[in-house]
Amino acid sequence: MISSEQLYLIAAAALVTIGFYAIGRSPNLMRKLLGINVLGNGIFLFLISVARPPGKSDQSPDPVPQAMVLTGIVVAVCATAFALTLVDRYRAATGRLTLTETDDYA
Amino acid sequence: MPEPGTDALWLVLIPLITALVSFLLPTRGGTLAACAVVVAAWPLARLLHAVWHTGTVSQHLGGWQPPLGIQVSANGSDTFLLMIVWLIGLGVTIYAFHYFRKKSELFWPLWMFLWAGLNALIISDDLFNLYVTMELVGLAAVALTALTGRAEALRAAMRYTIISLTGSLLYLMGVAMTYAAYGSVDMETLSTTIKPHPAGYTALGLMTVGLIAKAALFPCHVWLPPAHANAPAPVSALLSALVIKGPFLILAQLWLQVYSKIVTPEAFAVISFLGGAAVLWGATQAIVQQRLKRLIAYSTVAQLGYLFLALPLTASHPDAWSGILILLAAHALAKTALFLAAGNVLHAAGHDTLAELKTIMPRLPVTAFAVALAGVSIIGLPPSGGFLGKWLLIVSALDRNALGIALLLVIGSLLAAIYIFRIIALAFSGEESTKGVRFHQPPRSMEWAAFVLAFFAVLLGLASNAPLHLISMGGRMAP
Repeated sequence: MISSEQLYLIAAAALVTIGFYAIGRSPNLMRKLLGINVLGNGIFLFLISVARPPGKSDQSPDPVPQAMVLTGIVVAVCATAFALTLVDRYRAATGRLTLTETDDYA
Repeated sequence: MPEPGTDALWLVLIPLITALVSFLLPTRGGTLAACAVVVAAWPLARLLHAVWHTGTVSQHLGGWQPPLGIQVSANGSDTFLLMIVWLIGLGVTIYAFHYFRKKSELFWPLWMFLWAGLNALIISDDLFNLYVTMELVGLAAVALTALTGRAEALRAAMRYTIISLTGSLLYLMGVAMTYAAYGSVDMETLSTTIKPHPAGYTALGLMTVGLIAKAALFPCHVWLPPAHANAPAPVSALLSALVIKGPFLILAQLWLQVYSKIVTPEAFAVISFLGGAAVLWGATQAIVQQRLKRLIAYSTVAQLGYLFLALPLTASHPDAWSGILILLAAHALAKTALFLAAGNVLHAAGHDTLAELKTIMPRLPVTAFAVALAGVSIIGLPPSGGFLGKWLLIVSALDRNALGIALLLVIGSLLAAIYIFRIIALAFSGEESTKGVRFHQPPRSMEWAAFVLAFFAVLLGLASNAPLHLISMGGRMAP
């Protein structure tokens, strides 16, 4: 039987893996961006789960990782909003949602 | 009388407040930024005074002690870096005042955010806080890259965004693992508590990969040349001179201070090898480029390689850290001068294709002289700052029988001489037929801003006693 803390850790590992896969394999910028968000959430989940280490579930959780996650979410929201705007501008300028492999410097 | 640590905080707050105000007064951005640079000289001078006499000043934000609170501190190395950032900021602000006249008002708040982030990065003593400052710097840098709004700039910015965000998250994952394994993110606490542990190695590995990607170390450098070459000249200067140094400084601090007990010589050999590869690859690519800004961008790849190449020496030789910091500062000053000079060439000719600049360069004597001075430092000829940095590193390398590192430092200089002379030769080509060739005289302030920064890159080698003394104050480590 796995405890809820272990479940959190497994879920975090799964999110991190999915995130990396999406960033690395998908040529679509929106998917890359979603991958970055999934990866970030995996890290946040990991931080939340280490706030209460296994075997100490009767104690109150450590506030420091939770504060980090709150800060991390704010950073992630800003970064995502900015990156979405950039994707939009990029699509408006080039009509594409992928980065071309050739580096056409004008 | 406020505590000296407050002065370090003002260096973050002044640009941050200026950035917010210049959103409200968009047409006054340049004036506000100029005021901010001038005002920031005061806390910087006070900080320099305090560090010069006491070694290290530190401050706990809001009076909260670590592990819960955030500590900021500045030692001699930090203060030296803050001064270099200020000096480059002054030059770029003067240059950009004309460059962005009546256009791109967004440059000013973004540049102020970038400056605030860099200063915060330099004084932070906490792994998580470094993540936040790195994101502030990264987002401002990407936005500046996209400033022209042209398709190729947007493409470069897009690639930069993906690399930058992924790199930051890799770093954050390492921070999370560090906290899980050792229960702290405060660097001072960690450097005494870290013991060999699988989680520690994983954490350091993840952070290192993330930081290498963000610092554009070979082979993660492919995003750099398009991003730096497509940005407006003042932005290219800031990106090449300062932004990529941030991740390097964090990495150096992790390897040499926080995790120093578990970093193995083999790991140092790998990072040194990558640095050496960057020196050779970046320089050979710079030699074959057909456009001026591309050439300078590839030169950055090579010059950054030196810093990583010499990193192993710092673990064993006391002079090596000074050498790295002097080289970093000399490159920052010289590279800013080169990019600003390239901006003058673009202003004058409307393009930067090297083969077609023969009639342009002789008509820009101040800019040509700035390129020559900056080139002296980039190559590492005496008496420049580049020479001093390389000299300290070569002496340390020979002291430790690291002949490979010493040899690569010399080969890098020879290759740099080739690409720098490609630019300088243009000024002495002596072709007279200028009829029908477009020429717009750049404003005098833009020419002189490049010249003065190049002059400081050389001056760093001539007046080296004070900087070297400052770097050694308050422990040789901890950017």
